[in-house]
Amino acid sequence: VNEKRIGAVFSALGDATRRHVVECLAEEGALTATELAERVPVTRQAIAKHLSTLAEAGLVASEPQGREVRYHLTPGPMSEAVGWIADTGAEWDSRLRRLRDHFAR
Amino acid sequence: MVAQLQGICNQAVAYYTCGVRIERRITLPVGSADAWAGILDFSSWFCDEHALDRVEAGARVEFRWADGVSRAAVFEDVEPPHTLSFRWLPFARDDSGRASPRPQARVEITLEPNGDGVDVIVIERRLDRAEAIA
Repeated sequence: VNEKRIGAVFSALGDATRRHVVECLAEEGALTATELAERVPVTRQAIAKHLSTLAEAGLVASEPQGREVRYHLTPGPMSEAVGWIADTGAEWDSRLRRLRDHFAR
Repeated sequence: MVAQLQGICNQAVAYYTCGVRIERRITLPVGSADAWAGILDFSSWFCDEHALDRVEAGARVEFRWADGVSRAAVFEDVEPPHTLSFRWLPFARDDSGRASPRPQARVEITLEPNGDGVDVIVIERRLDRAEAIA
């Protein structure tokens, strides 16, 4: 499940408009689709579609507030991908240190 | 909190554009042939024990660590003393033999002569991203 999720995350972030939406939500916390359409130069309908792609990837969650729905970031899945890079990088750092020591002897 | 979120987003976007991969480079003070032999002696640097029959495309190698975890991989490109690549099998085993899933990933080790020594460049790349997008 996690592996598929990471693929969906990177796929969702492969689109410049969706990255713009993510940036707006990162800067301002929670916004409605209408508010997002004021900040990102596409229609409200397009925003709604991008939000649903981001939600499917687990990057965005919605919350009804009165008559409106507000969207906010849920960065957990991004941390997963970032975590793989950090863990794998740390493994190679220690392996390559041993390789270097092996030849320094 | 916002700065943290932005940091994570920026990192994720950067990883998207260059792929989900890590790259490392070190310089060894020996020639390519010695470096190649040293790299193939996996238990001296990569793991604690290793088992392999042949080093050629399609051959299997198994790595084991002191904590009892083992992982297997299959060699892909083998061009001594320049390129060695392998694809991880998508699971690891603990000391009781129980398997747990690991990401689809491929490791490529490239040796480039550099003066009296040799640069060793390691790239480990996730393979699941492209499949998920396609």
